Amino acid sequence: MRQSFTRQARIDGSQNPTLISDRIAYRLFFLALAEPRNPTPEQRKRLSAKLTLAALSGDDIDFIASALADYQERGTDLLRKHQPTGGSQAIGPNSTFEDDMDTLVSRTQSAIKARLAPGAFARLDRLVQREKANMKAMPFPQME
Amino acid sequence: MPIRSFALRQVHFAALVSTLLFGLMQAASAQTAYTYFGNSADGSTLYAYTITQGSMSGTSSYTHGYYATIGITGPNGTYGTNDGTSYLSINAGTPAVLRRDTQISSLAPGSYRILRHGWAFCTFVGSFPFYDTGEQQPTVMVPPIIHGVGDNTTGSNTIYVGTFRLSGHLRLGADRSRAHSYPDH
Repeated sequence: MRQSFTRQARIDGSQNPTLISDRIAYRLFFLALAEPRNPTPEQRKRLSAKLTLAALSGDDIDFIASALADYQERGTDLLRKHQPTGGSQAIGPNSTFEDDMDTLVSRTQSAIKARLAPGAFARLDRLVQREKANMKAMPFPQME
Repeated sequence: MPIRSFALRQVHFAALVSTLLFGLMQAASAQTAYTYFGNSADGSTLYAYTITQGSMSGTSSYTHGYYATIGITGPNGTYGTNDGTSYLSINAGTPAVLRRDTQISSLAPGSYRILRHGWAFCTFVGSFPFYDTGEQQPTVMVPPIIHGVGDNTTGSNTIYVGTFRLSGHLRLGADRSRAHSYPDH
């Protein structure tokens, strides 16, 4: 019964990419790409490889690396902020973390869009839209 | 007639129950976990990676967890340098991000099979796989890389186009699908 519920409820981007929203797609994509500030050569190479299909210039990749390092740091702060305060106390509404992440993603997108060479953000967006095929969302029954 | 009426009542009852159940499921599905798997190559290295992000609500009386497995198997029985499973266990109601990267460098031409799997669980309601058991795992084909060209008979690297001799070299196109000759200057 539980198994059939999750199969029906799961959103599979390879079947229905349009059901994966842009805000979720960018959130996951940024999380998958982000490397620390001052990355090692290997980390920088890895980030660059993940952007290969967007055909970006070295300067554009450098800026994205910097923006995503910032994204990662702020995302870590949000995770910390939304930890339970201790004991068996429940945290506040679930949407708060989601809202904060949406705002962070939106700001990161805007910062990248403003700095990239003409046409580069459109190529990046095409890559993110393409990657929706590799994303899945699973709504859960209430877990109390 | 009474039979038809009974059947209609059954249909109405079933519709009512379905509507109620659907409403309950909708209300209970206000939280979502996401997963993303990707792979990319830069010519010398193949990368595979996975991200899972969840923010399920609830009380910390129960534990939530996420598993993410990623691996690469190369054509010569080679494996990724960081293949394996990452696991994160947290109190219910805590947002979480789980990421794992693996890679194979010095790529040999051939077929690379990528293994990815992931699931979430709750000590209260059980586990939920992101992928079906029979779901096909992706495969990445790495084409051979041409490092040089030589004449089979003489072993010379001189390039001939028809009867014209070119002193030059071959350069692969950006998509690696074509090679072009360029004269040396």
